[in-house]
Amino acid sequence: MTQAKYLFNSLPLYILFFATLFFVSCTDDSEVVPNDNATENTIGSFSSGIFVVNEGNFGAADGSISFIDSEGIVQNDVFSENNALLPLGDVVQSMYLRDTLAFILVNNSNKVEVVDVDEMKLLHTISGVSLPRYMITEGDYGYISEWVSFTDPGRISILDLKTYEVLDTVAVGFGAEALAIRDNKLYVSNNFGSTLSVMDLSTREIIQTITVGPSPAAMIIDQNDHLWVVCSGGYNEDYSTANNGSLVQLDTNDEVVQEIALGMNVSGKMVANADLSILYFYSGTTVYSYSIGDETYDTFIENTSAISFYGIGIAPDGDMYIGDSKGFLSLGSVYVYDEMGREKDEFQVGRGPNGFVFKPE
Amino acid sequence: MKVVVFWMVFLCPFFLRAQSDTVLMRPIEIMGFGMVPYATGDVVREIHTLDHIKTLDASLFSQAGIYMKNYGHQQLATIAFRGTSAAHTNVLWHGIPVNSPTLGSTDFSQWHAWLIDDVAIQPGNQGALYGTGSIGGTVFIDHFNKIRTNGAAIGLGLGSFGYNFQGGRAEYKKDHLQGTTHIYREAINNDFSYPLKGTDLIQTQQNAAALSYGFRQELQHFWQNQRLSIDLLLFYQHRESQPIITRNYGQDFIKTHNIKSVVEHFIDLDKGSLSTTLGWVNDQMIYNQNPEIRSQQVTLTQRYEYEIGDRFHLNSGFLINLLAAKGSNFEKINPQKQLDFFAILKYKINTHWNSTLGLRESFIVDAGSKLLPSLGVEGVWMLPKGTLVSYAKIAKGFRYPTLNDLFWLPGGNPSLKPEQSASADIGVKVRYRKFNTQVNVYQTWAKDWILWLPQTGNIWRPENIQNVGISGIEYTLGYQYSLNETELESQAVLNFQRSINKSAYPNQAALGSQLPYVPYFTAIWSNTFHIKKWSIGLDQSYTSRRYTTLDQSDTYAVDPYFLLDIATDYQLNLGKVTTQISFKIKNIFNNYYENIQNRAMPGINFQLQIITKL
Repeated sequence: MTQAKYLFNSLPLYILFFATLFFVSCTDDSEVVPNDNATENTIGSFSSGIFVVNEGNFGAADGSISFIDSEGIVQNDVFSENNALLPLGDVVQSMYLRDTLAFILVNNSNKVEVVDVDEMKLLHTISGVSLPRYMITEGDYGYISEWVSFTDPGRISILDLKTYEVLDTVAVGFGAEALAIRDNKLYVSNNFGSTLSVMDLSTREIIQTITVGPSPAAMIIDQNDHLWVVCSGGYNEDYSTANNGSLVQLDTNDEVVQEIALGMNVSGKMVANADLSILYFYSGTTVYSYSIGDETYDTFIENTSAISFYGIGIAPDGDMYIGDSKGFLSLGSVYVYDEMGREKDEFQVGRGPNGFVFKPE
Repeated sequence: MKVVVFWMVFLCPFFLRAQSDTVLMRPIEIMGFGMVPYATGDVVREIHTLDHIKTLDASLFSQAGIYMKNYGHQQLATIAFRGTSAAHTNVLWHGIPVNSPTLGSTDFSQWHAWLIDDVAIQPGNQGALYGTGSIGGTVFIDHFNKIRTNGAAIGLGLGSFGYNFQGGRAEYKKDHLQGTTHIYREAINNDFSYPLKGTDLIQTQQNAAALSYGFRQELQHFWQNQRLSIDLLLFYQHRESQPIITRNYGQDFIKTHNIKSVVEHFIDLDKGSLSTTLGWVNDQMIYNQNPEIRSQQVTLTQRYEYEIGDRFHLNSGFLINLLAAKGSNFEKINPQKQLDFFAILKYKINTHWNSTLGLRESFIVDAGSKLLPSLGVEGVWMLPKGTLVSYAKIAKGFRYPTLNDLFWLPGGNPSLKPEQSASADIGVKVRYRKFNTQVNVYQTWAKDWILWLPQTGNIWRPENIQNVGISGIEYTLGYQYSLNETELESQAVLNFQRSINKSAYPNQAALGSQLPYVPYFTAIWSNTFHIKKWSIGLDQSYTSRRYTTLDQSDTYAVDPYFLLDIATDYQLNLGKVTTQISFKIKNIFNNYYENIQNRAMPGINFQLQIITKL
């Protein structure tokens, strides 16, 4: 075969090969460039309604915020949708509302996102926190509980609400969880142990450690100004549940004056009705009620079709909102019950709904 | 746009006129029985990995019917066949099941091709003679049916993000002894940059470095009609756990020590053979500072192959498998004892048709047994300038719960049942002149799939709760053209698969939805153009959208992506020394993509590979 014939016969190969290069090089622009314009606020404002905190699947960074407006219309993923598809992060633990600002605590992303709550626009990111859990404010300061790690004591970071700078940190017990303020004192439940830490807000020092029950979590100050903490209960050596959850009451002198044994392990979430006379907590897919002053508790809601209750809230109108994580296998559900425990409505929200923030008009 | 371009270039080869004066086929699939001695029937695709300086996940990436899940760059990589999951894949090394007893799956990023001669894959649950989990398919890693020569090779690799590789191997043969020794070190800083979604930030990946060492020693002794073979694999890896994009830092790491060893005795008998294999696998894993999790496995198998007359071939035997795990989340559990019997009878019906009847019975102590029949037929016709093969198979399959499923504290459920499946598969394969094409259509019905579900007290517990219907089609088209010292090889692989949840769990929307991380469509088109000592490769792949929730939520879907890699190779011959120099540019369009939600993968990157053989 002559050289010329060889080249001629090979021509289709060259054409094919270089045509391939040419065609594929003419594909769309790189997908990597973020496009703010494409995702500019398409949702609208969030002046009144219910924010649902969707924790997301651990390790997937798919936590989100859903919004249910007064018409019952659900808008999911409102943070990302209004911030150029910025992922909110991994394990969105809680959201705290103060005036026009919302502080969204993203546990496994070690950050707190500060947003304009009416537009859900990101204003500031507070980094330097370590496994943040919950937040509360008093005056010009915010207080953020942080686990820090699973092997180090938890801490409280004190936040300047004007500059968003962390001014100081105060070590508390392991697994710093829920927060409550009473009489210029900050109460911190140490979820990995059995104690509450009490911090003087003036001196920012821990002034007392109170033993309550295993795995203390949510706290409520009732109509008598007594503080209630729900203790989830512990585990036996073989990791089975110890079934020793409890409700513990502290009087105004910080003395433990009552302990209601629950005979089971319960969630660390707890809410109260509007006049702070009834506490609600849950285990599995059953909500229990405890009327303050009683010796025992009652079954309030049983939902046999739910998979797993994961969050609870009570709206200003008295309706109870319960999040069902669906085992993080699908979108979560929110069930709405009236004050008598009758189911009123159901919404589909983001993955792993673990809490609610009610924003009245 | 990219899809259109993909199809345009895909169709190009059909418009080229085939040249008839030269035929040089390099089949990548091998039909027939016994190519992999631990499988039967069906199409087994064999991939020669020896000159790959990459891990097995990368070597297998372009195979039909496979979807690789990479949990970041150079991180955990699992395989899924035909719309199933990693746990539904049976992985056999020299015929020994090597899926992690605790997790039930294999991390293919911890199997380096440098240590391995060959890998074969067999989609579908009909193939493996024994073992659990082959609902989706089976991966066969190495076997002893090789003849060694005397030679040695050195491999060096350099690449982006601090990648470097050094490896050496030698094989030797003298009189009645042969063997091979392989060793390597691979490291990467993995500090690639990527754009953070929703921002203008370019982020540099943190905490994703990895360092691995591997060693392999194989020895075989032949005498009379017998062979005694041993193979030993040692592996160590320290790998940082690549964090998600919204938490771009961390200190998490995993340290892995693996020892795998196998001894096989083979006797060539009149009209048959008998082989006995004993394997021991020891896996240790330490996550951060937590106590180590250690699993061990001892396996004994025996296979007897026998020709009965001119038409029958019998392959029968048994497997005994003992599995144990230790760790703070396991009680002192007794070893799990599995026993499998199998008998596969092949019948040659006539010059065109073969049939295969298989019967497996798998026992597990305290958990009952499973009888697994299979039936296959295969027809082969010689065409004037090619061959046509058609085949059809039906089979039942199963997967035992893993040790984690059964005994993990808290939540392990000792009363779990095995997952079950039934499948049907039909296909045709044609080689004609310079073309080869293959179409497989399959359907699998699966029930009692295991999901971990939340219970009271923040404890999760696995349950047999999910039923799944899987169907799909795999299409492969290959084309090869050569003329003098010029050659073009082109292969396109298209997969369409539906893996549908048949259970209304955890909500009604889940019923009828595609399972998480099963792309409906994947396409790969590979071209290699050889001219004298040079070759240029062009690999394109497209992976469609993947959902991450059981109700197929768009909110949590992972975007589709398209990748283009270009490679050039040059072979330098100096006397008896051959050096192959390869330079590859990956992800040439610098596309940001995610294989797993919110785990960044690198943009454009480079790799230089030099292998010198004596």
